[in-house]
Amino acid sequence: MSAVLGISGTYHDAAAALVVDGHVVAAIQEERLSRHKNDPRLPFHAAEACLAYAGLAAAALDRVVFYEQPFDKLERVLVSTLEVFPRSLRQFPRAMASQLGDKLWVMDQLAERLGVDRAKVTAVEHHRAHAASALFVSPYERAAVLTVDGVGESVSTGLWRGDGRELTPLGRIEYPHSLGLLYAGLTAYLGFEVNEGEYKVMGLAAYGEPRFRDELAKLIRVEPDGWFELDLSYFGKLANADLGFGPKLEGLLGPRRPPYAPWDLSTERDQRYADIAATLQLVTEETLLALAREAQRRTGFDALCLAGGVALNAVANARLAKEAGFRRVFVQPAAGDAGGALGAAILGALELGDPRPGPLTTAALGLPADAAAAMALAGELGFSVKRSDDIHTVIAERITRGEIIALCTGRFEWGPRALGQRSILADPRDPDSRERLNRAIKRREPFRPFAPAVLADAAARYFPGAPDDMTPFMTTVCPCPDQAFAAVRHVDGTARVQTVTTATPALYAILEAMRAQSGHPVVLNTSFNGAGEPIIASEVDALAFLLSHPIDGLVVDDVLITKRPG
Amino acid sequence: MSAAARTRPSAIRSRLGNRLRTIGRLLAHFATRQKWFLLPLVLVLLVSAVLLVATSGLSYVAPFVYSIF
Repeated sequence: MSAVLGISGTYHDAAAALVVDGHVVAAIQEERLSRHKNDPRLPFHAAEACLAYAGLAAAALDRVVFYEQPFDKLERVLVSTLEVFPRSLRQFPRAMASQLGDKLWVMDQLAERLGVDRAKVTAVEHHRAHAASALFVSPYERAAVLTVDGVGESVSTGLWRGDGRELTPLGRIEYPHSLGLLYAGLTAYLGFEVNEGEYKVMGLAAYGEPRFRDELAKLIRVEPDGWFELDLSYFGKLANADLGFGPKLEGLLGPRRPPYAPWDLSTERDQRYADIAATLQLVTEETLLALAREAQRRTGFDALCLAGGVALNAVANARLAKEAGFRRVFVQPAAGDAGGALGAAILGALELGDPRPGPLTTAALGLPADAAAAMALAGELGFSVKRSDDIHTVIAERITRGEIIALCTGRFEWGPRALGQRSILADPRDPDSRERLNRAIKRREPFRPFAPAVLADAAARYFPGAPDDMTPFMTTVCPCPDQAFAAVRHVDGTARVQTVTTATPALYAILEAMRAQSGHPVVLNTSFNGAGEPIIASEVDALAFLLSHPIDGLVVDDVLITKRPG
Repeated sequence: MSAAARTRPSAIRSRLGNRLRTIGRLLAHFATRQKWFLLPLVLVLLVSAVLLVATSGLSYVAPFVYSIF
């Protein structure tokens, strides 16, 4: 029996995950504690928080496992930079500063800062960590596993056979041919920030028509078995690390969209960009479908697990579940690089002889909220504070009459989705709530959809196809035929639904109260954060949000806090 | 002299030992992968890296960086 800490970081979405005796005890992204969105720095805050939650000292760790092999990565960066020399001359010093000045020593730094023996610090392959993060917390004993992201050490896409405690590689696609790179390049072209704006591209795609198929066919050539190849000339031979695409792409698709310009989809210009986003989404889906069908053919299994940043594309996941030939599909909530920490920890634990963890039933793997501390601080701030024995009914009543309520309860979530522990809740039938949330509270692009949470036992009535293995973690979309749910229904008639069971007790009770009051156990559920901020972690973050945003109330566990009595 | 100050030289020795072992593993990595042609470049760059660390010339940059990260 052992205690293993998994670590991801130094690129984006740093995280720590702790597995003790084969159980996932805690998993925390560094951004939640540092309050720096997508924080790439080695996650010492998160690591210490995981250990403190478990009541373990660092010296008690049997192993610390980093989520990628630093030497392999350095080798790839050196070789790929030399391949495009002298075009890469400008980025070479930065690449080397990053690799040799920092990343090369990452395992030494982990040992020294955490205070563990250097011999206990090891590393695993990036895509193996991704694959482990999906398979070993999935409900499946055996599954095909597909890992798809920008790039790990040198691999961008991996196909695995997962059986019990074993992950066997079946195929790989190497950098620079990368679906993540294609998506990121066009995300940059569309004026969004790479590693952050991909969600926006996915939301925007629903507003467009995929009429640029011929053009995108020049960027990526996909074989029927899913093997694909990018035409690197459109990406400037990857020699410009600031831009991500080359002038040839603008020659093909027209001028890039200026970053940060306000969106107006009634204009021909922005509609064209939406059409490009729609085509990119379609190409991504079709490539993933080809890969998944190949995975099914080669494994013969009826279940598929996905991981890697591309696996956060909920729209593509829905198509995979329907069309790839698998009976079941699973995507864990932190499918991106943060999830690599979980995979690394599990791989370390398995190697030490621990059992495989059980299926993940909740994403609440962070630190708990403290209602007493919230009451004390709210009192000092002059807020109205009311403790209630029936707080869930109070929340449901307020939401039903059009209020927007922030919820901070239990342990915060693992991954980029708010799943009922750090959520902002509103009436899903009220389009005004959506407008108010988008413009006044979240301050984000008007085309971005909000998601619904629904009781699992009633999900099929509102969202055909739900629940499935992905809906508890909001990693897929389902049809939303009832137009009455205007605030959570995307323009394409789908919703990124979360199905809720007693594994998420507070949200479950709120939805039961919603059912009693409105007849519908459905609520709008969006992440509890402001624009450009990480999701709230502590009750202090939550109160700071209440101070600075026009929400109608904040609930910390069983305490309702409002700016004015009411 | 405080306990922290007394342990400092040993901590520095330990860190230096870790770094030297990492350099040894790195060179062995390139040797076993038969990437000998990269070794001179790596050695020169390692010296540069020491200078970079010494001058704190590092910062986290994350625009479009797959090609360098």
